[in-house]
Amino acid sequence: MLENIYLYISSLIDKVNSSIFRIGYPRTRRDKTQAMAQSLFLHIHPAKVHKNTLRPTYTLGLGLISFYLFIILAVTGVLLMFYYVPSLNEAYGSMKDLEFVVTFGILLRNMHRWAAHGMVITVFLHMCRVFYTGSYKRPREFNWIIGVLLFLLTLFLSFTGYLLPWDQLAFWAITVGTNIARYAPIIGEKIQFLLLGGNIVGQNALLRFYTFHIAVLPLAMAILIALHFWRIRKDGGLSRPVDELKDKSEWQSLPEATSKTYGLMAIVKGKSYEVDKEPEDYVMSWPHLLVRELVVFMAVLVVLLSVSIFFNAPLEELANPTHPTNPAKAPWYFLGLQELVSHSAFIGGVLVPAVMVLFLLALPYIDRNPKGVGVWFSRQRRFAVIIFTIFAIVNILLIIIGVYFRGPNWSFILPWKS
Amino acid sequence: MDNDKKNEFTRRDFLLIVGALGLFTFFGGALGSLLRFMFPNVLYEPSAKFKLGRPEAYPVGSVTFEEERKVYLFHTQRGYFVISGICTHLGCTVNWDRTKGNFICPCHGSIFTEDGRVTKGPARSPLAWYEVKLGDDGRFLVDSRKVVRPGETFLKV
Repeated sequence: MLENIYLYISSLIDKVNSSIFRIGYPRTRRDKTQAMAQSLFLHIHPAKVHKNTLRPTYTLGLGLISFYLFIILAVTGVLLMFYYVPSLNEAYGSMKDLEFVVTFGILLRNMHRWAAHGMVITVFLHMCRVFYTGSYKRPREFNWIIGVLLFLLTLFLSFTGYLLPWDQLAFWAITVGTNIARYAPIIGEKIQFLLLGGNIVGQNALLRFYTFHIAVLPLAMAILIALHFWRIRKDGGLSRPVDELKDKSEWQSLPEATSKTYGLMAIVKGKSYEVDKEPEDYVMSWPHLLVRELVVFMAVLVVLLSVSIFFNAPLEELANPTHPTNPAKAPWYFLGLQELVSHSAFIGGVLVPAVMVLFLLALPYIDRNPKGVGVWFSRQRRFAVIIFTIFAIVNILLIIIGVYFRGPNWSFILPWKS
Repeated sequence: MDNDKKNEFTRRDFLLIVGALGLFTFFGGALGSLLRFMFPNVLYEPSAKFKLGRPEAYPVGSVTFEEERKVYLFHTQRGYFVISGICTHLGCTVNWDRTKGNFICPCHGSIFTEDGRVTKGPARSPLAWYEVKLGDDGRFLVDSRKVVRPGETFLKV
């Protein structure tokens, strides 16, 4: 009796299992291929990946880390939405509630904020990696453009995000940010009005930035991320060095076709084929790729959790529409921009950023040197590497000046003398 | 098919173009409407016209910052004037430095003189002077939509 019940239940479990996972745990190469192809969540991967794709020193895992941070941001963000109220009177209070009243509220808020900072860094570094390995070259030009758009979306999401607590930083960042928009030619004032939903920084502005932050921008981001990944596959996987053919002397010759009729499998270009080069540089995605993805995810989570446990996300005083703090500084990743606008609002706030973005977007079409794909700092593209390095260093320097060398009233100070 | 017929503009081509134009007009109009939707018609904002205190409250030589309205009310030998406290660069509130007698913006370091002229960038235009009158109830009446020429219009009471 008992045995029958046991058999019945175990066969039921088997039935349910096999209705969900059609092939069980994949052990053969065929099953491993099937496993990748038949799952909605896994089929974004190829069945086999090139070994170069898995080399940590090639990609540094930066794109993957950025993606994981986005996922973590989406999850923690949705959780924070359960407590946050986008109203002038309640926004700051709900931040305080998250910090002091809600169980694990402060941890989730810290994770959300630090993941956002981390994402700005990893997306930027990912862009640098793609540049220095020449991975934006044909046929991947368009994916570079999507990448630049994703970088901009990351910045906009950060900007709209740190406005929501409605502390001093938030209020004066909206004020300054929307005033920069005013300097755009012709439609500048209309854009400012549109962003604020009025003439002053008030309830309408908070609600608009909230809607952008929780709906419009993440949706755009998700769609572009999907497109970005799709294009990686369609453009032939991650970039890698051109496969080097073996020395000619090692080529294996096929017997010349004589009178015998060969099937399709025997038709190869030239007299020889590559016996053991290409296919052997590929490994099954299950488990080689999946295990690495899992390890990177756990590493990201561990680092983020540790940072979030030990360091609290900044929260300034309640917004005071009358007086900004002195100095009033944006978060570090916008201090380069703040340094620029402190010289000229139009040139620094509109012209230079626009030129920089255009430069990045046009890059794969300007740089027509096809060499150096798949190799870090290839000597065959020294000029491009130097130009981009200068570009990156200038931006980093501006940020360093903004962070350390600017004091009250944005005056120049020496950090070691204060 | 011969070449003449190939290049002919047929009724089908015509209808296709008309249809496409109609479609684009529709979607263009729909987008335009959505853009218009984003511009609110009624704003629940403080009025651009507002009252300050009575003249007696501001002795000669005083500089008063009206917190709620972000304006500075000056009473000099030449009379009263009201100057906007909003930096013309990127909208931060400028601080009055009593000892130096000038305005400093804490966000990007612009400096303005007592009557609002720029002495140090990045701001490029002077602080706005608002029209100020004496209202019927004996209090100052400021209209921040009416900007007057700086350094010329003083109210004597």
